[in-house]
Amino acid sequence: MKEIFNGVFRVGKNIYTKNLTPGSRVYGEKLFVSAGVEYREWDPTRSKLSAAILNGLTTLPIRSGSVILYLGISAGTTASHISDIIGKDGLIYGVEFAERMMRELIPVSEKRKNIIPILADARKAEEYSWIEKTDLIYVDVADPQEMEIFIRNAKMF
Amino acid sequence: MIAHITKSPIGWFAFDDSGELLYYQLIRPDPEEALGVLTKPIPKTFFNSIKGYETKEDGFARDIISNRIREYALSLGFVETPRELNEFLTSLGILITKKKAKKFITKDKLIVQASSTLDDLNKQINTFFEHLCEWYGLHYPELKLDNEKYVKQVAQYGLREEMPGFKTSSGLALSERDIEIIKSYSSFILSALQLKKELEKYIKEATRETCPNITSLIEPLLAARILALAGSLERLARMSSSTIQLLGAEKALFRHLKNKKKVKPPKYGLIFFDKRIQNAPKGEAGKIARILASKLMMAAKIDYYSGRFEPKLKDDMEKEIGRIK
Ligand SMILES: C[S@@+](CC[C@H](N)C(=O)[O-])C[C@H]1O[C@@H](n2cnc3c(N)ncnc32)[C@H](O)[C@@H]1O
Repeated sequence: MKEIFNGVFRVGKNIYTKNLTPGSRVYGEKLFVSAGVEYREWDPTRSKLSAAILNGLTTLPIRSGSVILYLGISAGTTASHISDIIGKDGLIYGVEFAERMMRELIPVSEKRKNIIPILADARKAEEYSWIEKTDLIYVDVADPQEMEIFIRNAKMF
Repeated sequence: MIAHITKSPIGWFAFDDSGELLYYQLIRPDPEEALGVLTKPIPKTFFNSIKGYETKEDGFARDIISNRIREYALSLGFVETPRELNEFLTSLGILITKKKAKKFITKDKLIVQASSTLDDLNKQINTFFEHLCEWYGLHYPELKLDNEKYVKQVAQYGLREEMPGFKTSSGLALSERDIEIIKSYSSFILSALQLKKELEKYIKEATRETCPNITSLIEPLLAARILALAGSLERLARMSSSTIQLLGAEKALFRHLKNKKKVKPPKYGLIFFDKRIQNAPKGEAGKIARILASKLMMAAKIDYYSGRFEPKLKDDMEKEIGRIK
């Protein structure tokens, strides 16, 4: 097992993150134990970030303790691995406007305690103006205005 | 000198022009309390505690807090560790999101029920009225009034001889006993009419609140009927504009699909009840229906996903309709 980025481990063709909440899965991913530590397989077909890492992404600006704004967090598939990487000292503010996705994210958030669910439109950052300035913004809203949304949020947070 | 003031999840803060902390009041690390701070105005007492400055609630102060909330939460003793702060903020986010989501799911389902109840009630009231007309018509066939007035008059006076302006009638004479039961029946219809009015008022208000964008385009009662046919706002938000255009015309659509040569496809379903479509000249109704349906599709998505009011939708729609003419 090789740590290719802070908190991201590679074994053969698969990558893993250390499970922040051992024993529980988020989206049916495989669990894997090595030297008494539980890891969660990070499925590249379910997460663009995983696919990017496997395709040779050169830097990953996420590390233990990072504070992140995640736009379009959905049910938290990718976010759960980021949550593993940043650990209990890090924090994700996860914005999603689909109420159904949020309903699935809330139990994940309740367990992990480092993902903040925010039911809001990323185009209306005023609605969550109470959040703090973050180290990084991750955008995956699948919206033609993605760039504009990103710039507006970047100015604010 | 200005004191820049802001709320934050951990309390209220005041800074001077250079960003130095002037004054603050922390709350306890309780998510409910924090929600109160964020949703209510900053208390007067907080403003009054700042002496010698002009006070102003602004983005300058909010920016500072948004940068230094971690630092202050620890140094001012709101929490002992960053983890505690993370857990507190997470609980706060969960609380806010659950509150928002709760409002979301219940209200449209209530409207769906109220609206289909109203539909049924309208049909029943019509049947009741027909029965009453036939029944009371045996006694006084010459009485011609619109539905509601008719029922009221019968409930109030009973026998035709008691009615103002009565002269003669070709109907049967009725006994006291015969008329009593007819009067009771009319009172019952009147209370159904009363219920209908209450229902309409309720549906209008609830639909305007829950679907501000849809109701900016069409009458709230019509919006509620469309919602009821879709089953929920969520389902309406997932529909294409052509599905919305034909909601309520399913029977006509199937007739067309079975026999494409002879039966023309329907142009519209429920949205036909919109005044602009009803009053449109023949060639334009279909075009208006298409525009309306496409705006309704967007409105439903916005109402479901964000809930914010977008006045632009209505302006755009009116412009597009204006262009047809
Ligand atoms: C491609 S999915 C994100 C998947 C997620 N990043 C993952 O890998 O697990 C895009 C999400 O963005 C949400 N979305 C789109 N536009 C949005 C907006 N303006 N504000 C908030 N969320 C939005 C959608 O509801 C959807 O859940």
